[in-house]
Amino acid sequence: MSQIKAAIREYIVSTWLSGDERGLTDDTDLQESGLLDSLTTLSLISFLEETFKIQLDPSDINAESFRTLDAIVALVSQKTP
Amino acid sequence: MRIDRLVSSFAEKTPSHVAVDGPSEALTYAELDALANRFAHTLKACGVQPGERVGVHLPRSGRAIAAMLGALRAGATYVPLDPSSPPARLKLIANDCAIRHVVIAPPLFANWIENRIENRIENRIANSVASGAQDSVEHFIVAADAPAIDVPSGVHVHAWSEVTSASDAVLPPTSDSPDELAYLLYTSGSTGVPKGVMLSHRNALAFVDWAAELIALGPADRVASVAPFHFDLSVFDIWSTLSRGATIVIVDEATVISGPRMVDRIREKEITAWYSVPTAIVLMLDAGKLAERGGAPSLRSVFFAGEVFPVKHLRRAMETLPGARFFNLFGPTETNVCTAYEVKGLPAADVTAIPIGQASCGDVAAILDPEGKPVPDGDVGELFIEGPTVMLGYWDAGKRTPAKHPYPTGDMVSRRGDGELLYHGRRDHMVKIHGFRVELGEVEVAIQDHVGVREAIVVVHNQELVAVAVPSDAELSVLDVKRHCAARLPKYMVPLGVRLVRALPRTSSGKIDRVRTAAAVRDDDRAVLVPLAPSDQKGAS
Repeated sequence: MSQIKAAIREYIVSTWLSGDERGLTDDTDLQESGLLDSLTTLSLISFLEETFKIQLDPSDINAESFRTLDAIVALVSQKTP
Repeated sequence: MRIDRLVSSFAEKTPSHVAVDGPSEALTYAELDALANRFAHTLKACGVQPGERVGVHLPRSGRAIAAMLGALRAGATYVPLDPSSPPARLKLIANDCAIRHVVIAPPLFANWIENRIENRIENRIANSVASGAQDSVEHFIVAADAPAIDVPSGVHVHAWSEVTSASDAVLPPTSDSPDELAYLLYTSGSTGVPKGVMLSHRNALAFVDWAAELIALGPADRVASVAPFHFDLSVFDIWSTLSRGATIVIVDEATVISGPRMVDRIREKEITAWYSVPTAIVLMLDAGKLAERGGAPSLRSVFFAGEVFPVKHLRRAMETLPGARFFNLFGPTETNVCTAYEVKGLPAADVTAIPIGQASCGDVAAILDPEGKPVPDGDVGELFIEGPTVMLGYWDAGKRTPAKHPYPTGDMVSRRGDGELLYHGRRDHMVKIHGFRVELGEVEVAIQDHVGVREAIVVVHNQELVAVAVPSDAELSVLDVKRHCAARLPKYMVPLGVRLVRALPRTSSGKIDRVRTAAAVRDDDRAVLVPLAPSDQKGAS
């Protein structure tokens, strides 16, 4: 697993799953699972920007770009040099 | 006066002035008025009777407002149905107040029908309580052009063309009484089922006119719509604005979650009045860099409500927006706004809370002890409200219950020497999470409904919901609990933290000890709340 994916996964598990990673896969729908809403999306954005030293534009921020772990990894990979 | 008449005079006086701007279309007063009449004729043609409830299940837009107006002009009561709520919860609401007609956006319609078909299958397999019975809706008025979808028998679909081709002639009013029910706002219910707060035209207008006069709202004003329509803050955005011939500027959901986008919108649209929870204002200051971007010179009135505005952030907001007056509005949905405080100066120390002010909108406030006697100034008691904003009552479990008078708000307050009221929390298990009202009982019932959960309790820690659950099935994961909640509750009610434990602490009478559970969550006390393997339960909420 890439380092990016491992870091994001660790964030999701510790912040939203109280440390319980059972059932979380790369394509778990994070909105349907009740993990992502408008406020948790905001804290995820600050986590991604700080951890990976990237800047997310308003156009990057939509439901699809944060739907799954894979989608978030793709977004971050595209922003990191 | 009734709220659906507010628009008519402006449709004649200023027909081409924009009534609702955005997100994707703008409606002038003439267009809004005509569309409202078309909705009213369509609803009547598909059988809406005076006094019935009509669901409005649309994203915030001019069309949604026209549908509300149309429902009222057809003699009905409108019920805003939250576009972000899962269909399972909306069905409970529809059944509770026997909604037969829903004006709906195409994607939400597809979800609703899909959920209905799934439930029919589930119901055949198991007699599940959660999925419930068939919902009461018979007619769907689809409020945009969309491809037809297959629907189960008994469902009538009315395409957008039925609305656009309906007459725009004024309907004869079904009633002139301001004391009839205008709308129902469903809020979290402690028994696990949402309950409807019944508000009359008189209730609405007492606040609508008071707020419009307070800030001298006029046709040149551009009022932001930030709050969801099922949330009572929107009553100002919609009805105060329309009552003065001003313009509603929709700040849509995708914008509300982004500080920079909200700042773009407020500056581009030259918004003059704003009403939201403090969180949205802080988001504009922080992520939106409102100060660095030159503030919002057009803004002259800022109302906030729903949660405490921390003084250190309010200070920054007032420094960034020196041209605006700031008002702290207070009241449960049952009284809309019942007290108000204009923030003219701030305490030197950031730790002090600002007052909730004095009775407003023609209401009278009393602070009473448990025996019903007034408490001396400075002592804490329950806030009781009497006056024109007090709701008609609850629509709950299928029946109407009149409001108590004076109305006990459940809010504990004290009166300061200068007459201003200070807030001291709730008397019951209702909490506010980021400005949204949540009954812990409703969340608990949803979690306990999971077959793998033996018992569960929900507490608040760091202003977030934390569920503590004892599984009956070792396979139960935190993700299972969250997914289960998300299918039944609005997103803001899904607990951020979920702790799976061996047992819950008990009181001497054998009840779950809420106080000790909350303390153990706060202190991460694993002797009281013994975590279950294999999760290491890192205590990260």
